[in-house]
Amino acid sequence: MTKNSYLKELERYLKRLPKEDYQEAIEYFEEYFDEVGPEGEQEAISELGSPKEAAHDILTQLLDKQTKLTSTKTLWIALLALLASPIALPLALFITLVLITVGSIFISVLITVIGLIIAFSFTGITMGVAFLGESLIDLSFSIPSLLFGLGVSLTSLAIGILLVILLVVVFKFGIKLLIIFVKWIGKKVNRHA
Amino acid sequence: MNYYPVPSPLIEFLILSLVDKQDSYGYEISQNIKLVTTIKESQLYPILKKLEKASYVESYSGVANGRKRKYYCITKEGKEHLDFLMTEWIEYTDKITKIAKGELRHDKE
Repeated sequence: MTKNSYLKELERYLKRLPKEDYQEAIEYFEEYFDEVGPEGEQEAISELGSPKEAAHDILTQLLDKQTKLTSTKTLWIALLALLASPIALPLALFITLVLITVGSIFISVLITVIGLIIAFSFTGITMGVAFLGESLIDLSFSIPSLLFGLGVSLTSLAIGILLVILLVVVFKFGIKLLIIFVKWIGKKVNRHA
Repeated sequence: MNYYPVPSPLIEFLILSLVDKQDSYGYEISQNIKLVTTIKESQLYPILKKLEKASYVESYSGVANGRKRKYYCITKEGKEHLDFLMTEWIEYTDKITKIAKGELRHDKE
């Protein structure tokens, strides 16, 4: 493998990193190869290991260091690191598929819950308005039924908001679990190496 | 030689010490680290990057032999952190040596 094909392959694995991180990492390795010169090229390559291994090192370390990243960015890097894991391709594919499935379930649950929340709040508010209307039409303005309607709608809204908070917590926890999992794979593999 | 592993906090200590004396670039830093341990560039790079993110080092691009080169230099925060690391290191090695020589022992009540 030549320097150029090595760098090309490394670029392929790191491509989805945030642009700035990607640029810097590639420049670093280009500079390194320039310094060792054509004579040292093969030695440097064998020292580094395959581009996949090198990419895996970089990606897992970035996961470690960049705790201030947004969760979507972290999720991306974790997935990239997983794909660059030096484990058998079928296994990597399997894990990715499982992750995608879990992700889809997450999203469908999210959509369902949001739907329920909207329905709930809507029903609550409608009921409140209906009660209000009814009590006005009856001309016997009923304070208890008005209060009941308002109470129902407010309760529904409150439950909805609580559910949203719960979902955010679950989602963040899921990402943390994923990161732990990726690091675990990295460690397991390194021990074998 | 190089029997003991050199974990990343020590690598950070070494990098900061190197750039404290003189601005340096990736390859030179890596050659110096390799005096005490085998480390891959793919492992060294993220550590350098971490030091930069923590504002312990700064980088600027220079030119040497007609090629672009990224130089790293230490910051004020970096110097303070290096002082801390040096104190810790002296205490750590001092204790280990003393235990090994039988000069330090946990006193039983």
